[in-house]
Amino acid sequence: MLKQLFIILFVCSLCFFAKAQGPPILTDKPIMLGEKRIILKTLTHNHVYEDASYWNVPFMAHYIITPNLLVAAHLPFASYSNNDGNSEAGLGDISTTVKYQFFRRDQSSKTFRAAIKLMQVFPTGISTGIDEISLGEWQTHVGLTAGYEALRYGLGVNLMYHQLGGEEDNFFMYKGSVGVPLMPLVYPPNQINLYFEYEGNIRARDGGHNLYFAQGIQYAMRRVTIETSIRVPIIKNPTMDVGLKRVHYIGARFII
Amino acid sequence: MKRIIYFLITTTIIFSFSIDAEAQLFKKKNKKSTEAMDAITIQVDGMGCPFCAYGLEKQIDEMEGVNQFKIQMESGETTFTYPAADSLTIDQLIEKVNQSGYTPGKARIVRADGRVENYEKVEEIIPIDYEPDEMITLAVYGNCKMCKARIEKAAMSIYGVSSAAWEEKTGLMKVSYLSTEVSPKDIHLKMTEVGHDTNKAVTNETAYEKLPTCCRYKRANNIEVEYQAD
Repeated sequence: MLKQLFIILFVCSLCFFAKAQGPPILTDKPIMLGEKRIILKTLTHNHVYEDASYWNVPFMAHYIITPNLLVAAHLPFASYSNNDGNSEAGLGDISTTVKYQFFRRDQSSKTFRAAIKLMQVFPTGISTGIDEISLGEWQTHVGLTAGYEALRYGLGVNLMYHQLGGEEDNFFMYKGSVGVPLMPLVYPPNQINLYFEYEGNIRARDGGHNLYFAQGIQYAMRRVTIETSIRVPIIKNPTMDVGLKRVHYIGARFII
Repeated sequence: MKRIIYFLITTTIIFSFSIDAEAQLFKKKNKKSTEAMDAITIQVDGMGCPFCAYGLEKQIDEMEGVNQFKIQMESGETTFTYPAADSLTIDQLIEKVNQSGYTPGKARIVRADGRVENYEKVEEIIPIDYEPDEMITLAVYGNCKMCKARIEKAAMSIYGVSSAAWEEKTGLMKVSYLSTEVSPKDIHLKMTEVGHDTNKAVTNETAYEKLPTCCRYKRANNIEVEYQAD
């Protein structure tokens, strides 16, 4: 447990060196982009296992009702195919999200914000056995997302608890991101960012722990971002995510 | 095959929105206006990331006629012009900033006919319920608009100070204050607290190092120190 705590602290401390230039690719942000805004997103992910390959292609629509309240709906397409020739494709688990920013402290060119997030996943999809793809079971994710943004550095942390239906194990998840801009800071943004992101899962039943590292690159413009990332396990519990080699991400987001 | 089709449809929808919207935005931003325009300036706090600042631009842009929109990321100073005929009020401007999820600071509208309207955020600045009876001019070392925001904010946070204006070009700051509440020493030492040397007081190395890179002014070594923190 001490080792896990050390890793969490290490990941969080790394985030202090991040520069705030665009939205992290995999880590959620508490900053919302003004009321009555719609953001369309997609972040296709392909999970490559030793014996199978899984896909999730979501269409995500976020609507910011007030400057501190966001609702979202995700409509994914899910599929898998394994080395034995079995495959299945269809609608994935549809989900809805509510995010409420309960704390905001703004100062000149810097801000600290925190939000609570509740995500409800409905069992509308095919069953793949992987919660990120489609379980075909009810899921509830609840947690906290917090971020400090300044021109010199930024910090973003997500702490979530995932309650999964069926036979699946519940787990606690933490995420952090470090971003490095490759071009000068300007407005309107026209920036290429490298992202180094970390994600850890701790199984509630026995404390089994996985830690992943994701390397991503993003092109951020005024209202459009295009991004891609690859995630690999760096600490792996032998009984969790057995056979996972890597996850590829590719996505875009657009603000209406 | 299905997943490829779905992926292509999803990305095509998003990109078609994107390309069209960027083109529309480009046309709109480059439209020349011949009508009389008010010049609006507002200090917006909380903008630590250019991507997120787009939320502010979008809110302001909803008002028909906005032109020459600019954000100085380092200071949060946001400027644009707006048709004088529509007469944008300070309250409307403040509401727009609040709707974008940021905190409005000082605002100034220079009307096309030369009139000037000012607004100061009262939540963070102690209400002024006194008439100033003294004014001093002091030299404060700094570089940029971000320095200006910090210097003026620090001066205005002193109870008894009613106005503070620092000029980036000359490095001089004029401060009006109530002499029974504030002394020149208080003002000089307040500057050093936030990392800025003055002509009579020197900040410590720690406060100087805390300044963002762009604000690290060249330090003079011939300052005759008159005021020191107790």
